[in-house]
Amino acid sequence: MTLRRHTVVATTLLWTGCGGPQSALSPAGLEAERIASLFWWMTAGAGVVWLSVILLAVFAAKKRGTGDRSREGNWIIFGGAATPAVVLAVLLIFGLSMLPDLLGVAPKNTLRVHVTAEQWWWRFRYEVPGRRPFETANELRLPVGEPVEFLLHSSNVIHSFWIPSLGGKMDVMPGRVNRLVLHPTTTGTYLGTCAEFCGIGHAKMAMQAIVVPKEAFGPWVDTMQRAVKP
Amino acid sequence: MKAWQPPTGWRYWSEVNNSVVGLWYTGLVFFFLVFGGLLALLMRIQLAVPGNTFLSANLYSQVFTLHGSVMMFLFAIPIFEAVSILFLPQMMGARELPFPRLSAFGFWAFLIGGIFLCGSIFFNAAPTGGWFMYPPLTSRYEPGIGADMWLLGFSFIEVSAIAAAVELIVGILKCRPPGMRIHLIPLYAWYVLVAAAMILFAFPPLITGSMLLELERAFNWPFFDAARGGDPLLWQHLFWLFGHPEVYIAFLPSVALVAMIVPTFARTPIVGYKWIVLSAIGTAFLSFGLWVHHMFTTGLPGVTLALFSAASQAVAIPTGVQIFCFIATVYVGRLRPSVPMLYVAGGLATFVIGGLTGVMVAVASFNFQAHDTHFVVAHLHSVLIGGTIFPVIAATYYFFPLINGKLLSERLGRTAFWLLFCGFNITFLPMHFTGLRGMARRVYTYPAGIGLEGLNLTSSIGALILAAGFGVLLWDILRPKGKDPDAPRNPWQAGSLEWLQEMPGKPWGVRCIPEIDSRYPLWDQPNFVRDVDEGRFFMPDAEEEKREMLVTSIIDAKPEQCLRIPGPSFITLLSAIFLGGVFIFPTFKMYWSMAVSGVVALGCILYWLWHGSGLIPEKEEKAIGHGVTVPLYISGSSSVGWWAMMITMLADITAFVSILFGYFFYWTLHNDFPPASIAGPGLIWPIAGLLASLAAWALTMLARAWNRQEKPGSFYAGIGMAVLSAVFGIYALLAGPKQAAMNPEEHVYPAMVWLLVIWTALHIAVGIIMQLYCAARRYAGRMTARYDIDISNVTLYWHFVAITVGATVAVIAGFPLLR
Amino acid sequence: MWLLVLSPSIWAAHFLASYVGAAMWCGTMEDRAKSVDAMRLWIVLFGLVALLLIGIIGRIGRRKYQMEGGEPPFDKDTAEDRHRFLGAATVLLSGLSAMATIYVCLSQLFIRNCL
Repeated sequence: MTLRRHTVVATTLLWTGCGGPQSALSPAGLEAERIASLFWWMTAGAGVVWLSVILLAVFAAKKRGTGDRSREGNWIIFGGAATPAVVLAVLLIFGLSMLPDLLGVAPKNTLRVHVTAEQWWWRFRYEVPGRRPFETANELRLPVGEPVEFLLHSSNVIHSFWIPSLGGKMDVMPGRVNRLVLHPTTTGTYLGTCAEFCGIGHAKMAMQAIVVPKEAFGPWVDTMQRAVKP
Repeated sequence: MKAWQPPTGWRYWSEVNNSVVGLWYTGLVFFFLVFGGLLALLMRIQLAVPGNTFLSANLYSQVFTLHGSVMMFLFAIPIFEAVSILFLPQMMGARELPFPRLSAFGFWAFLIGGIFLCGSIFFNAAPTGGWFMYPPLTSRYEPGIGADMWLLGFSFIEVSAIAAAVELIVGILKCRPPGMRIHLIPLYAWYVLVAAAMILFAFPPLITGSMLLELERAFNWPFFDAARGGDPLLWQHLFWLFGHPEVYIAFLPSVALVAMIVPTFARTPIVGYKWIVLSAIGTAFLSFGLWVHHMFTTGLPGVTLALFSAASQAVAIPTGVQIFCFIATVYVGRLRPSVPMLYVAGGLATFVIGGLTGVMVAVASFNFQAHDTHFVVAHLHSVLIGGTIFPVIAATYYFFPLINGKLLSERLGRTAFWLLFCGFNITFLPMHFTGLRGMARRVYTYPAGIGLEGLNLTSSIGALILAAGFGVLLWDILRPKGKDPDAPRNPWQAGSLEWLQEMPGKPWGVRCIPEIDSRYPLWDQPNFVRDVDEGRFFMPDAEEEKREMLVTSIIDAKPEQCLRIPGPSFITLLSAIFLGGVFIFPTFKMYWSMAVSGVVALGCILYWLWHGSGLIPEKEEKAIGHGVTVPLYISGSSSVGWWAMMITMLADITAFVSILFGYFFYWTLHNDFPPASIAGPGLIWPIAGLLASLAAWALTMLARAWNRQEKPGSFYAGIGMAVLSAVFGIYALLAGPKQAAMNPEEHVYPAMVWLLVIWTALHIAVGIIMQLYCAARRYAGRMTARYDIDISNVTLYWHFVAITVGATVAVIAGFPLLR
Repeated sequence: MWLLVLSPSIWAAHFLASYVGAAMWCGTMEDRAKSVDAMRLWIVLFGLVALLLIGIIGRIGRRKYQMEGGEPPFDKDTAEDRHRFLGAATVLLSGLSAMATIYVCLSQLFIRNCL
């Protein structure tokens, strides 16, 4: 096989190995994008580290004869302590620098959805600024390019709200109201699921997030309003 | 010979010798490993294709809960305790561990608890909440006995694990050969010391948490019920305060085995001994600061997440240093290929992958995606299988000759290795992507069409290969070896003390207790083996036909005592059965049976202590060779009994501190805690209880002094008054919440106050039994002014009771005054 | 032998104080957006104090292991080598504890509020 065919096959495999409507690695939201990018950098770094350690071990095993005990051996160990210390410090700074944005406040007048985790389905209550609230079950419709703030409620057990393509997850805890802010960036349909074991129906507690262009969102809200009794 | 001969026939099961008990223990642990592995195989079969109906959702929940629980509680911790009971004395040139009956008791408790828990699935009654059992799912949404079995059954096992930890710590600190100063002890001993110390501080929070959850399930006390002031998050804190150190408790002793194996095959002493000691101690400390990284998605403030992310990354430094020490040792030496080294290499290669994915999930930002998905499943299995199971298999091939003098098969070992290594990677490498493509944990099935089919099928095929590897391994271990030749003595030409053993070994271990000058005596000390065989060191014979071992000082291993240790007895089995009843009967809500079982258990334990401990010897001292004589009986802070009490109480006080943690956790949660609308226990009764208990404590100390001064009248009077004081103390402490009509079902505040008071009262009650026991011992002539270990240890216990009472009263009576 | 575990204990004390402090400051959920600058400053200040103490312990350890005579690895069966070993291990543990304390302080770089 030629090099070109190898590359095409490899890329396709890589692609199919990572994508999907419920995949954190085919991001469609700001948060998911940042985390996916962090993931690829860390994976590359981890690969380099693992390979280096293995090569060092193989080299050490093949060596015959006696080296100077204290000095050479201690260099290996010291390197093994100092290098990770530096690399980890860098990773810590890099990784934590993302944290305030991921946990951040949503601006005023953000679309707000109250999520109530039932056993075993999702109840969504929309609070669009200036409109009457309405509810949907298991299906979210979100405008692209706009932040949305989810407020998470449970009156039964702990669940976890997770739409991988849009961002990370947040647990839904009885007795407190957790918040999650997401910024969808690409239209499409994305699947989500409950990510904390909540009983027999846990595996089937799925949801859909349909991200639509801004022009389509308004009319949809209107349709939903008409169904709500005044 | 006569002293150490194991009994025959059915009396064999009363043996307490570490070589015998260690063997039973190790065998049982392997049985649970296989059981847990079969459960995993069932899971992978179910997940091979989407929409599979091989296991129902409910049965799948039982299977995954048991798989995790069995592996963590019945394999990962017990394997190191079993191996230590079996080999640690030999590594330190000792004949035994200091409390053989305690080891035997630990084994029986493990057997009873383990069978009880594993048996549950055959009655469709296994717990279903996952191995970490989060409430409110497990407090209010799981009727049936599964969760109770988990909480009570595993608490019983945890108690036996703490007992083993106590014995190992005392054994390593106090029972070494002369000359084995603290910087010469085998690395395995350092690691086990550290891991056992971690158990003391890690297991109690789980025991406290389990107690809270069981109280909520059985009596409706609202610790985790948000509607009545409780919070499910408290369970997560308590569980992970245990859970994170737990994985290092599992990992460190396994890597300790690697530290014993690598120098042998590199034919050189370990390079970086002090670095490894640093790693073990450093990892132990840091591991207690990581627990919140299992809770990154629970809505905690970013500042908290940042702190724990930092600590979680820091722990990678000492973890990695060990690996570099092994590489450096191999570099400096001349590596000899062998089956154990093959497993070491495969294990470390796998473990490093796991360590790197661990660093990834430690970064809080990435954790938001990876948490609770199969990515974490891949990570945890990489570190556990690479870091615990592969080294254990390496050790199985390495240490097997010490068990019955035969070697395992090289051919089967290599075959098993490749099956295991390939099977492992085929199963778990794809799982990283399975998780990031959206598959959460604890799901019995997954939707088709979103890209999970291929990955899951691959993982399931890998699991079958892994199972085949275990099959080959098991066959190699269990196959009859009668026709195989005996292994040569010290078949791997190792340098450490356990290889003094003749093939096959003798029941007493070493012929005599050697004097040590180096870390690798078999390599460095000339004529060492011959000197040991000819009894040229210490304590070569058992002249009085009693089992004996040497107790030495902690830092420099100077001989301090010739300790007579007990022989076979069934009391350990009986105690385990009745103490087991105390945990098993409440599962079925049979509280009267529980009480009766408790009384009988207490009787067994008192009988055991009466006949087996603090025995007054027929002479004051004994000559142990080389002109050295040591006492046969010591009490006070040099004695092993005193250390055992001290260490046990450290664990106990940790459990108590966990309860206080809960109290203050609720305080940080609520603006109004204690709530103004609920009356507290007041000041008068708690303070009365405090004064009475402190009086009992003071009188106990005086009694000890009077006993030593040969004033029996004062002694009995002192004990009598101490008992009366203590009884009043219990009454007063309980009266506080009672007269304020505090209802523990109403809100978490009264529940907490009652819990603190009952905990304290129970400890005082045990203290009363101990005081009466001392009086009885004196009366029966088993305790005198000189031989006073009973009152000496009981006084130590009472110090801790005093602290407990003081803290309880300060919190329930004093703290509300501060607001 | 107690000197050995003193440095990690100082790290632990600083870490615990930071965690408890943060938990109490951010406390209930209502006041999440409030500023934490003061708290961050305290964490870093106490971190510097901790580093100072760890440094002192490290120096004591270094003096122990640089006692006359003795070559690494300190594996002779003498009381002096035992002192040297414990001193060297103390130095290493101090280094690790210092790194871990620095990590804790670094972690406060980006946090702005209780969210």
